[in-house]
Amino acid sequence: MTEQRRVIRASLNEVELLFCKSKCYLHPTKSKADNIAGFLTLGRGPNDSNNDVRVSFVTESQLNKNETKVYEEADLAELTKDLENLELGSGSSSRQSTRIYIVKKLGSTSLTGSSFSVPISYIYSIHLRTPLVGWWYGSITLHMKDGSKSPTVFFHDDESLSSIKKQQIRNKQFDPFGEDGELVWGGSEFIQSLSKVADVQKSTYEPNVLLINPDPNDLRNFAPVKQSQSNNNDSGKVFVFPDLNKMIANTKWKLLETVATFTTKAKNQVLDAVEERAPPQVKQLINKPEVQKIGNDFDSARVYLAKWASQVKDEAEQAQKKYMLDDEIYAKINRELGISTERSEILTGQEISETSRRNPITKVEWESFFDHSGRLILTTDEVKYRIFHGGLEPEIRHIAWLFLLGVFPWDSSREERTVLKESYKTAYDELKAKWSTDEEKRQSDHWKDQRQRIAKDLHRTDRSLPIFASQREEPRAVSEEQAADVEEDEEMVLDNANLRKMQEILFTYNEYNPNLGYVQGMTDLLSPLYANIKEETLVFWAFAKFMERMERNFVRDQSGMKKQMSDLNKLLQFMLPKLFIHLEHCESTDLFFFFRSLLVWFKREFDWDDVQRLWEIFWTDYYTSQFHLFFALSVLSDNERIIRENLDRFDEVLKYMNDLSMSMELNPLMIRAELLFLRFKRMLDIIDRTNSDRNTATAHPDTHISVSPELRTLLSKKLVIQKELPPTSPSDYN
Amino acid sequence: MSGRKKTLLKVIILGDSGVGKTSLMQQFVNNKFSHQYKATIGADFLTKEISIDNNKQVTLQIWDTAGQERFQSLGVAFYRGADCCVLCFDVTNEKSLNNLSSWKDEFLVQSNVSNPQDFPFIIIGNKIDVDDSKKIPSLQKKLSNITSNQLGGLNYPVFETSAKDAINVEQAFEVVAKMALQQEELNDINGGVDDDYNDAINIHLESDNYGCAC
Repeated sequence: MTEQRRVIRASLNEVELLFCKSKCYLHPTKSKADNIAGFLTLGRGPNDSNNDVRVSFVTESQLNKNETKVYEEADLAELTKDLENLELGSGSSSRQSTRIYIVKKLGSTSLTGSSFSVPISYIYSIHLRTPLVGWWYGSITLHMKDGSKSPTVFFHDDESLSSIKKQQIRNKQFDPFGEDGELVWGGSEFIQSLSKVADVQKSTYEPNVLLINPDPNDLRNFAPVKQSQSNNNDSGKVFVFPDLNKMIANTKWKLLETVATFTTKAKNQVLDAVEERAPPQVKQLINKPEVQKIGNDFDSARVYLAKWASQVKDEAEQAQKKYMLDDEIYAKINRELGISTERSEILTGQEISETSRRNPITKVEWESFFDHSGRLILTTDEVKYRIFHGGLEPEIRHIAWLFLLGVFPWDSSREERTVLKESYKTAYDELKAKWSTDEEKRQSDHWKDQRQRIAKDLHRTDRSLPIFASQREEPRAVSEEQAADVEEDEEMVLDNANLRKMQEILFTYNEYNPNLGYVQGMTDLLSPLYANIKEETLVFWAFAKFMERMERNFVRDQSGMKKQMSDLNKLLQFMLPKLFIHLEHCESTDLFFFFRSLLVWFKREFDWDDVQRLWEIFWTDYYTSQFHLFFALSVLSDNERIIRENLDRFDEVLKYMNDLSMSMELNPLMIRAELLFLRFKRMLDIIDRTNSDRNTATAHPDTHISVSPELRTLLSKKLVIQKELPPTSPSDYN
Repeated sequence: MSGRKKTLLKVIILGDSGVGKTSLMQQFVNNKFSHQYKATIGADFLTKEISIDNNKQVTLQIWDTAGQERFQSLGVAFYRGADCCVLCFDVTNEKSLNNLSSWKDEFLVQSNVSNPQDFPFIIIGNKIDVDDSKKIPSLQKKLSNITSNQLGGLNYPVFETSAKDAINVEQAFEVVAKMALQQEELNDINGGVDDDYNDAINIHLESDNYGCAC
C-alpha cells in the first residue's frame, strides 16, 4: 500500500482530500436563488503536518468537469468503505478500495470568489448549528485566531449524494444515530474527520462551540465550572459581581438550561456577599442612627400593619395552596428538569439555543419575506418565530404591526391589501359619520361625558414624546374652532393635532363598540399604534383589533382582570411555590401589584421603545396568547430572592413592585419568560406522562396528579375574547 | 408595641378622574407639580413623616388610586385599615362635586370600618388657581347643600387648594394627620384588630368617649 501511495502522491500545489462533502452552501442573502453550492473539504499537501491541513470551501462553479468528478468521487469515498464494511463484515479487505483523491490546492488563506481555504493552525474554534429537519440546515462557521470568521457553510444533506446514501444505510441498520448517540449530519461527519488531524474539544458551557487544538488557557476559559470549583476556597475572598449579561452570552447553553434558578443564584451570590463580606463602609452605614431609625420605623409600621392584616385573614384563608403540587412531585420534576442536564428531557439544546435574542428585523429582511406580489414566502410561524426572538426595526412597524394585529391577513397579496384598505376606509368613514354628522348625539350628556373622559386622559398620555407634545405657542387659532364646541371645560381643548386625531379615533371606536365606552388605559394602548401607523383609518382598525384581545381588561365588573390575576396566581403556585408561600405571608397573593402591568401590558413599566418591542412580541402569540402572564411571572422570578428576604407586608410588596417601573431590562426578562414557559410546558408533559404510566401500572390509581384546567389553557395560542355586555344604565359607563 | 412607638397613619385619597389626586399627593410629599402626571392605574402610595400636636411624630402613608369607578372594586385591599379618607373634587367641575357622596359610600362599603358614623373624612376642592370664570357658580352654597343632604349633615373639614401653586395643601394634610391620629388611637383602644386573644378587653370599653370631635 505504501508503494501505491507514493506513486500518486500530491505535488506541491496539490492536496490530498481527507474529507469531502458535496452540496454545501453559502447563503449570502435570504433568497434561495443566491445560495452558492460547493464542496467542503479537508486537504493535506505533500509535506504538510496536521496543523497545515487545510479546511476549504470550493464552489462548484469554479471547478471544471474533471475536477468536479474527483470531488464527487471523494464525497462518496467514505461511503464506499462503509458499504464494503457492511457487506463484507469488518473484514480486513477494506484497504483495497482506499483510493486517494488529489485536487488543486486553493490559494493560502485566500478567498477566491466565494471559496476559502485556511490551515487548521489558523482556526480557533468552530461554531456548529445542528439541523432541524423542515426548519433549517445544519451549519458550521469557522472562527479564526485573529478574530475573523468564515462565511457560514450550510450542509444540504437532502441534496448531498453521500449524505442521502448514508442515511439510507443507517435506515437499513435501523440506527439513525451515530455511535455516540448523536444525530449524524454533514457537519458531524466533518468534525469526525477533522478530529483525526486536530484536537477538537467541546466547550463545557457551549457544546455548539468546538475548540480546535486549544491551549490550556482556552480550556480554562471555556470550562470555568470544572476549574473554578477546585480553587473556590482561595478565590472566594475576593467577591466579584457576576456580570450577568456576559455570563449569559458566554455560557448560554448550560446556564440557560437552568436559568430560572441559576440567575436567581447569581443574585443570591450578590446578596450573600453583601451580608457576609460587607465592607466596613457599608457596616458603618448600617450602624448610623438615621439608618437605624428607618429600621425602627419599619418595625412599628410592621406591628401596625400586622393588625389590619389580621382583618383580612378571612381572605388569606381563602387563598389556599390549591394549585401547588406535593413536594414529592416537585422533587421528581426537578430531577428531570434540572440536574440531569446531559441530554435532559426537559429542554433540548435546540430549544435553549433558540431562546437567545436576535437582532430586530430590518427593512431589507422584512421585504425578503415577501415575493414580488407582496405575498409572504415564509410560513407565519417562521415570521412569528423571528419576531418573537428579535422584534422589528421601528421603520417597519407601521406595516408589520398591521399583520401582527390581524388588520391584514398574513397570506394576502399586495393587491388584496389595497382592496382591503379601501373597504376599511369606507367602513371607518361610515362609523365616523355616526357621530360627526349627528349634532344631536354630540349634545347628549353621555357623549359629552365620554368626550371629557377621553380628552382628560389624552391630555396626559405620552406627552413627553415630540409627536404628542403641546403645540400651544402657535395656539388658539387651532383650538378656537374646537373651543366653540366646548363651553364648560378648558381641558377638553387638546393642544396637539395628533391628540385630537386620537380623540376622533376613540369617538369612532365608541360607535364601533358601543357597549364598552371609554375606559382609562385605552389611550395608553392607542398611542403607540398612532405614533407608528399614523394613517387614521389604519390606526383605527389596528386599535379595534388590539382591543379584541384587550377588551376583557376593561369590562365593567373587572372579571377579565380578576381572571388573569387568578391565572397568574395559579401559575405562580405551580412554578414558584416558595415565592407564593411568601406572598401569602405578605397578604399579596391577589397580585394586585400587577394590575397596572396587566391592564396596559407593561406600558407604564418600560420606556417607549421597550414597550413597542414587548407588544410586538406579545402579539405574535408564538407560544401562547397569554404570554404576558409568563412575562409577569418572569418579573416575579427575577425578584424572588429580594422579595422573600426583604419584604414582609402587602404595602411593602406593592411599593417594591410599583417602583420596578422604568428600571427593568427587557431582554433578560424576555429570555427568562420564554424559558419559564418551556419549563411550564414540560412540567405538564412530565405530569401527564407520569399519570399515564400510573394508569397503565394500575398499582396506585389514587396517585393521579391533577393540574388545574386553567393552567392548561395557558398553553393555548387562541385569543381569549371577552366582550362587554350592554349597559343597563348610563352610570354603567363610569 | 409599648414604649415610644412610631405611628403609621393610612390615608386614602378618592375622587373623580382628573381632579388632581396624584398632584395633591405629590405636592404634599415631594413639593413638586407637573402637568404630565399620567392617569393613575392601579394604586400607589407615598409616605411622609410630619410632626403634629406638640411634636408628635407620625408617618402618613398616602394612597393614590385610579379615578374611574369601575377600578374601585379591586381596591378593597387598600381601603382596609384606613385612618382617614380624603374626598376630592375639582372646583371647575360640578360633576366631581356631585360625586363626593358616592365616593364616600364606596369607601365605607369597601373599607368595612368599625365606625362608619364618625369615621374621619375631609373634603378638598382642588384647582383654585384656575380662572374664576371657570369655577362652579355658587360653589359654597352647593357644597354646604351636599354636605348637609348627602354627606349626612356632618361637618367634614373642607379645604380649597391648588396643588399646582401649593396653596393650602400643607394645611389640609395637617388636619388629615390629626384626624387620622385620632382614628388610629380609637382603633388602638378598641383593640379589635390588634390581637385576637384580647377580645375580652373590649367588654370593659365603651367607645362613646372617643368619637370624632371634628
